[in-house]
Amino acid sequence: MRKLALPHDVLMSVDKPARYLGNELNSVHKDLKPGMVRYVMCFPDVYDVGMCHLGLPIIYEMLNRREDIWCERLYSPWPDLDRIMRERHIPLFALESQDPVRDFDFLGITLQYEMCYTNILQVLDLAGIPLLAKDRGEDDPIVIGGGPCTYNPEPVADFFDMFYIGEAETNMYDVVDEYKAARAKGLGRREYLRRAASIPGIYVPSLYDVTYGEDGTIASFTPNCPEAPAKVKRVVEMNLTGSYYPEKPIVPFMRIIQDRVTLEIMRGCIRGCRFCQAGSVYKPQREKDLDWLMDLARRMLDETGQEEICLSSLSSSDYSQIEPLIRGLIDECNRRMVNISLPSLRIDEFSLEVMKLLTDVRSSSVTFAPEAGTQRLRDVINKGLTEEDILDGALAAFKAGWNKVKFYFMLGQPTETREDLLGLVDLCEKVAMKYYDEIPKEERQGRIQINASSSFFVPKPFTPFQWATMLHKDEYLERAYIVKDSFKNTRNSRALHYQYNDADITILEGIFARGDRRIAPAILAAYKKGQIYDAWSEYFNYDLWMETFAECGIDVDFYNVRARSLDEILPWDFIDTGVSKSFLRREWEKALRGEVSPNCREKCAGCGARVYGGGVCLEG
Amino acid sequence: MKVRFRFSKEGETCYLGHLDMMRFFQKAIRRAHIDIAYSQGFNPHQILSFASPLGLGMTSQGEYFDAELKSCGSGRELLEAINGAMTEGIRVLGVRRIPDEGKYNAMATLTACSYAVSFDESFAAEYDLCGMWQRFISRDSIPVTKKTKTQTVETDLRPLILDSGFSSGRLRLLLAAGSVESVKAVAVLSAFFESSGIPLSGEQAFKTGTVRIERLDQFTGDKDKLISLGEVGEEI
Repeated sequence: MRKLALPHDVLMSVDKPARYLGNELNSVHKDLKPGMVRYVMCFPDVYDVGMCHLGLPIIYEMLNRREDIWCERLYSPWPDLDRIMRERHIPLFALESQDPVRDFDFLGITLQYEMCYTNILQVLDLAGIPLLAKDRGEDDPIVIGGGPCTYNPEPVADFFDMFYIGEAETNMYDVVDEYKAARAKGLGRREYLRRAASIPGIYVPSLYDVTYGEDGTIASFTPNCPEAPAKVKRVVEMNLTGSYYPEKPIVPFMRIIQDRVTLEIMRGCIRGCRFCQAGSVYKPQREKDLDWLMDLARRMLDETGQEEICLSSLSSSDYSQIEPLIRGLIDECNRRMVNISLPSLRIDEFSLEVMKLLTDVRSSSVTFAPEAGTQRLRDVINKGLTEEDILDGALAAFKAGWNKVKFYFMLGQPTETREDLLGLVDLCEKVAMKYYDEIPKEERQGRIQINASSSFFVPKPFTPFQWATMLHKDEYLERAYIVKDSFKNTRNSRALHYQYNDADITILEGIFARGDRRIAPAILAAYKKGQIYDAWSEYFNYDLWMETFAECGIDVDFYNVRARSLDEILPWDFIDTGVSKSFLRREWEKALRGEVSPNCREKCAGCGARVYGGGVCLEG
Repeated sequence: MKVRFRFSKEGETCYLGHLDMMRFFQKAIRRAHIDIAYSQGFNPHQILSFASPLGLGMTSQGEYFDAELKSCGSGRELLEAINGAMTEGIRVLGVRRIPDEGKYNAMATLTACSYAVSFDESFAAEYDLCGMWQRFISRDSIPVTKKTKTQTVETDLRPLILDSGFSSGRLRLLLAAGSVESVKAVAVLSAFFESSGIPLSGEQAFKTGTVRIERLDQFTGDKDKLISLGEVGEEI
């Protein structure tokens, strides 16, 4: 039997000890051999959340295919265990081997959302790794970050030795091989990092110097050694069919948030929603081959015994083979008594037909994400969904027996006015009226139920809205109140429900999303005050954050509500995502004029992602 | 046909809860391509029922669940198939066909469970546990007070300890279980420690690893002629 890192009494006193065992079916256990590179991949949130993520298993699969690498997993200890580990000086350990993280060669941390930033420090601290990259020595692991937040890694740059910008499939082996070569030559940490900096996609923050002008904006951002490129190019895997994929996904023992196998059908998106970072930084849209996907689905279900399979993509309806794929999966899954989950499907005749086969119409709902309440604002954000689309879709759903509708909106988008806020309510009401006007009384399945929810918009790097200004907390809330009040005064107020997400997190997300290196001391200071698990409302502490920013001399308004000029050097400008800054600027200007842009299939808008030479750019 | 599976749970799988085990077997049954029956409706689920939940932290040689199968080959084939889908620490020890009537349901028919309690070496060296146990068990009654949310109830543990004995440092217990009368092993240990002047509760001793508890088996029938749940029914 393996030796567990946590003694019996600790496992018996923490909630859900299964989080820390690392012995799940299909987890990879290897015999340690001399020279083996030890890699631990961390999702800096609790196991229940982290285990639902697809990116990490792809890297796990890729690295473990090589005999000279052992890649293990790591999730943030829940606060109950965190406390015990500090009290008893138990070092943080990787799940599979249960060995201390500090003994590893690499600690990879995926940055999926900004609110996990204090958890990065928790992981480093519990592992006994110096929190600042500059304080690390030869015996410390190389700390490497990846994931969507690396499209502006600057607020956490001080904590990382390097970032991998782009998709792991392309150059992850090079990162390890360069390390092995450096080690064989007896080269130290600094030499390795310099060499790694010349691998495409690798950003080593310590090799760049930043200066600031009197107005606080960036005056210069320059490499300080020849190996570091002035622009770090995002690396993209162009052949996703047949590429690394977790064919034997790990099967958790305990219940996690989404316990199912995930089938990624494509990457990227043809739509050009101007608020959407994923739509921009994962361009171009690249589809996986239908037969490969069907084969993968069968193998994953065989290897896991899971009861549900979920399609994953930014906009599944845009997958060109979506109909044969879903029909094929329905055949396969019916035989196996497996459920199919189809998020991000546009409501139309086809999707309603399959949803009717897959779900209980009476208890499920149809979902629309118009994001904005009026056509004018939807044009600004370039959301290609019209009121007519929504009303037609809703009517078709009502006729098919549905009477529950969900709406997702964002408040606080550029140019938003009171009309747009009221328009949102109006749209929901029109849908409700559609139900009563068009569905005869005897065919109605009870009262209509409309659940609208809104979050506040946070501008993200590499989107046309990266120049947008945010609002103050009270202004966000005011807008939500306008909507809430208006909902109360509708004719169908009993059928319409509205809720909005908290504005506190929005402010934090804003500063982290578009912050620069000067934010890091505040993250460190908040952590030192005991702040972790900011993504969890029970642990998030807005006042503590605001107090900490003030103490660190950080002006939140500078990052959130200041109007940025178009020629300002943005903290993330050193990254080349393929999508050009001039395209983003054009789109920003079009947005302000309320002009829409075509999607990639309608007409190439010349975003620049064509340089990758594939996907939708070369279709047809 | 209704088939009863007996399985063991060893090593670190003791930290997996009862619901985790149910989910584990649901998936294992799919991986093994066992022809199990499903309930009707929009969310069909496998027709499966588990015997008494095992406390977190305990290992076991005698866990059971009953499954409604539409078909299966020989018992050996079924055993091989399901064991091909197991993970380290969990093993299916036997399968038997049981009568279809509901009254043979593993949980409903349970009357007793047997346990082996082992003690931490330094703890065992400190006390004459065997002698203490003899004195404890020779009492006519062992009154304990059980606190529930609303009231305090006095019960006698003695009749619930059906059999016991010390051998090679391990305490074997046969305790009443099931819906009529039951007692937990840690509760028996608490009473034992208290009456022997050992300043520890059974719960504490168990959580800190001073005692380790393994369930040996589960039984049905009257206390004078108990039958292992794994001996009910017939071979397949």
